[in-house]
Amino acid sequence: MPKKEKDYRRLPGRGLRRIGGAVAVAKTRASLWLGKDHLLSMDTMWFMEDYKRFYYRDIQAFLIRKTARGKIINLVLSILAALMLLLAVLGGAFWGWGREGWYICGGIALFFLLMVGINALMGPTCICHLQTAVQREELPSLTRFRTARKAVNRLKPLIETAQGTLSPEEIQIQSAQMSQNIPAAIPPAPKPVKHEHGRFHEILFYLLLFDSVPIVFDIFYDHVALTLCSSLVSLAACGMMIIALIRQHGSDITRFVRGITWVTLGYHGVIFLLGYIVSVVITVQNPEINTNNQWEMMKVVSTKMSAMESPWIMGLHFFALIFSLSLGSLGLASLYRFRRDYRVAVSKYHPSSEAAPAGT
Amino acid sequence: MNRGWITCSKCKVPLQDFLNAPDLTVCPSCGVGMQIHVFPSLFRNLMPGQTGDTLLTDQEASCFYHPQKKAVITCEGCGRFLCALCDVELNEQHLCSTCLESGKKKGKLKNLENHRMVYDGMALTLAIVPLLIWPFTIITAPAAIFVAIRYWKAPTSIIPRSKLYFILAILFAGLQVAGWIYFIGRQFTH
Repeated sequence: MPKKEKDYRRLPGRGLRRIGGAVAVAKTRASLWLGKDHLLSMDTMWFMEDYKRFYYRDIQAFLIRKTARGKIINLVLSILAALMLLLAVLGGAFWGWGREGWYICGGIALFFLLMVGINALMGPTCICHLQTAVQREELPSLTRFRTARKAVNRLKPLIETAQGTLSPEEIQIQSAQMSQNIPAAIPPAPKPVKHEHGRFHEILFYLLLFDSVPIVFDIFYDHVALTLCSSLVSLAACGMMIIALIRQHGSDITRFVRGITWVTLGYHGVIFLLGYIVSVVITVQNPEINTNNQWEMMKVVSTKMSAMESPWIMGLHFFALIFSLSLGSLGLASLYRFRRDYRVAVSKYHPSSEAAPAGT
Repeated sequence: MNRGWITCSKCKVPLQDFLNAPDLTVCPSCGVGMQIHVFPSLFRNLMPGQTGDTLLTDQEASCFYHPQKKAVITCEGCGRFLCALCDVELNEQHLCSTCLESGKKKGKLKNLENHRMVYDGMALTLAIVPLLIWPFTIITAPAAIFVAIRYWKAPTSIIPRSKLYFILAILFAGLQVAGWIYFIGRQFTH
């Protein structure tokens, strides 16, 4: 008996399709199947299947766009692995963890590193779109560049059987004809750019510089007032940082100033994490402390954790000092440079108004 | 979408110079790496829809749905005469709108089907997942057997597969039911 020919053959690739807007309310498993005269896109959710058919005669193009998602995933996984190793070191130093702590944290770090390796082996990530005369559909199953290429190479002969082939010369001629109509049809819309004076950035960078003062004093003196002062400055800096990040979005402020503001966010995140680890260590080492009383906690942190006695605290202080000083000074220098350039540009185009207009 | 235009999928800027390039090309506007494969239909004009010719003499056959229009073909589903407007071509078949609608409802036109409930998957899920909270299996195991038997002949996924899921569901659910019968029986005997 002759073997029955299969209706559909699976294309490589698997992925999840987000359902919902900015926040996905659900995800469906997406896959692609080659049919006799069409490409079937199947979305599976529990025991429900949804289908979309793209007939080979209607497919106009495939667009494969490289993304940085794979690199971001690798970065996050590497940071997690580093944090696990840091935890193992801190555990050994403060909690007296033995080999077991190293094994557990090292095992988790190794797992993260393994994931990094697998992710790197899978190759660069991409977003693949299919275009017909009436739609442009994302194909969520093709998330890796290599897989997308493989899938398109398998589809190409089927589409060319249905539509014929295009020689490079034909593409050039047709494109030249089409490109005559494009500028009239799609005028490039310039993005509106607002001017940002950078007042909040300035306050943020001054606060970062000022933050180094209580840090330096904290190295030599152990007093609750210093810890309180440092915490208040950090809190104010965080507030300014959030406002600055909002204000710089879609503004004309330079990339360097933007970058420094984002690095400041990362710096505060790391400081918060390290501070949290230190507070956990103190709580474990001093079980008599009432953890619900923040004032008592702060007093203990200021008095019992002296930078002169602990190399870890000293290291933390130096880390904070170097970052706050360099971010503050670099940020202020670049901000003043940006303001000077802006003033020059304004005076060049509007010689009558010598003074730059106030920031928006 | 517009005929002959390919725009960057990120910044929507027209990209006419990068079509069918063998390697990655960079969008001049947003700088992302892209590869674009195009096919002849990109440059093809869309065919305008046909409206059907008006009857000129009484001797000509007219459309069943539009008596004033000339019939050009018969419906392969019901045999009615159809004008060019009413003729719908699907999988090399010429159908009227009524046959198309009923064919979709009855599931006879497989190519129009865009949603399916996969009962074999449902039965297997009912047989396996509740094992995590095992007391629920007193309800879910018989339910899994019921679904497997009730929908044994129902079409499964559009990607053809065997009855393996149904068989596994009946097997697992049957074992659970047997376990419950044994457990309840022991309670009564002791």
